[in-house]
Amino acid sequence: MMNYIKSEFYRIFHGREIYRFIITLALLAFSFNAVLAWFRRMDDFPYGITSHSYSNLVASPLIFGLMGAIVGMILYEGNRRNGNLKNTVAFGISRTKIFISECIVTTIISLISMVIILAVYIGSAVMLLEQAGPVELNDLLTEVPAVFLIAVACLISGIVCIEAFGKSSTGIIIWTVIWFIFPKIFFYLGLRVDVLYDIAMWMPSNFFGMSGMTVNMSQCITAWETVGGMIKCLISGALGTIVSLAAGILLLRKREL
Amino acid sequence: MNEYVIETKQVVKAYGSFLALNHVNLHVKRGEIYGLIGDNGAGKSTLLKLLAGHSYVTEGEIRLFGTYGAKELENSRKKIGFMVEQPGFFPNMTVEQTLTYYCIQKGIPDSRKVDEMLQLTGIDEKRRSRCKTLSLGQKQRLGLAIAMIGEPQVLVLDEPINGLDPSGILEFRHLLQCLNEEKNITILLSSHILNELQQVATMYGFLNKGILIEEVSARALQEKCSDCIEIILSDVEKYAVLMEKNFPAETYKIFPENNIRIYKPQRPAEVYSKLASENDIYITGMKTIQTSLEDYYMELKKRGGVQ
Repeated sequence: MMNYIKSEFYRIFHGREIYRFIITLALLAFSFNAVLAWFRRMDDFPYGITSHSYSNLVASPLIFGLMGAIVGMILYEGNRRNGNLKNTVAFGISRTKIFISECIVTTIISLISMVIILAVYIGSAVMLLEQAGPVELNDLLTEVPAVFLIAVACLISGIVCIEAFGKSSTGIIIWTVIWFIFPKIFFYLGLRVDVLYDIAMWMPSNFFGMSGMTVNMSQCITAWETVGGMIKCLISGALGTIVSLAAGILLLRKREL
Repeated sequence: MNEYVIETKQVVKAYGSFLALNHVNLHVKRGEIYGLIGDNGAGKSTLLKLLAGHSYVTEGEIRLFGTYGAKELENSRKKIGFMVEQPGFFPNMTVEQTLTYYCIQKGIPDSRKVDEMLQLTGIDEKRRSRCKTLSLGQKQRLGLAIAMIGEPQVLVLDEPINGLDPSGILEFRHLLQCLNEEKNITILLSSHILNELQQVATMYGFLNKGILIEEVSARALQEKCSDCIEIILSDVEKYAVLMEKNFPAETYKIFPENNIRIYKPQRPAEVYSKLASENDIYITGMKTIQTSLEDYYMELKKRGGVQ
């Protein structure tokens, strides 16, 4: 398994995809703050402050999960089509070990990507924008551990969806349904059935969106600012990670190549 | 030490109601070059995919180096190099990077192994080319290089000469023979190009519609395919005794239905008919047979493997 992980790092660092991804997002992050700063210089533009910049990430925590899933899809989208997995399986490495290794590699690569992109984002915000408003750097920095496990669950489920289904587009649609449509269905069914409501409120897109999290130009109330909220984020992420891992092992271990 | 490096016992592979493999018993001995012969769709790739772990048996058992069970098979596969169906690569990686990637995966840190494989398979000059730019023949060579990583004891190759040009086929044949003779690597290769297999194989397996209809050694096949006179007689046992007495140097074999075949006959056909008639044995049929591997295979298919 360690050899497979090492070989994957060799492949990723000798490929272009992950560099393109990081550079593109870092440029977008910088450009976003640069545009805000530019608008602020032109007239009395109220959004040219760090609070507004940070709020984009603080108000949408699932963006970290989305990015994790995208990294997973970038790294393993062509695995089945290209037939590389056939060689690895023929080398005597089990599908379960391959899948777990892919999850570990993607988590590490996503972490590295996040650190670089966030550094550019925060750095450019601090340098270019006025430091004002209710959303502070601390809100953004505490968001990272709060959503970390949820992002890991997102990226693992991303790998499962991309590898378990024949077409990438099918995998992406199913991933979207799992993370955004199912929670909505549970929420609406939960309005009639209490048990379902309780379950629905453990789903990230529901408890981030509907449990009183308010992030705007006048106030910042995050789901993770209380100890209870932070624990709920971590438990939800841990459950999501366990479920995604178990689903991946079950779906991929007997898969025909 | 187990006699067979690869063995399947009553292996069945079903896709729904379709039986891709039907109770296949394959036996590959150490040191052999085993040619798996069959038409397209006969089940050759399906069988090799099962051996490689790409898919799972519906029924039956696979043994590699005498071991069976999921974990044991995974460990045994580390000693086997596989090239099944189209070789798989990352299209944007170079040939050298691809081999380095698989060397790391097999736990071989020595970068000289990559050079060795590139030279052995004749794609050294393409080392900096991206895999997506390779021709089909070059991809086959790279596939073989990947299979060769880690000095396997056995090579399993599915249609390895597909896409190779005539000189490539010749080189490939020499390479296989060299690997078999000098490094004592057992080779299992499938093909539907029988002439090519005939030049390298020491053992044959004939697969038809998912059924392994016969396994035969090259020597036995040669005997079966070589020129022979087939005589159908009223008393084949008596004729055999006469053969022993009069022509002890002749090689012959008795088949069912009063059929005797004299291989590589040293005398004209009339001599054998005279021997029968002089001893009150009636001849009901007599013909000279010369069989190519293709003819033998076609005949075998027609008979459904019944000898």
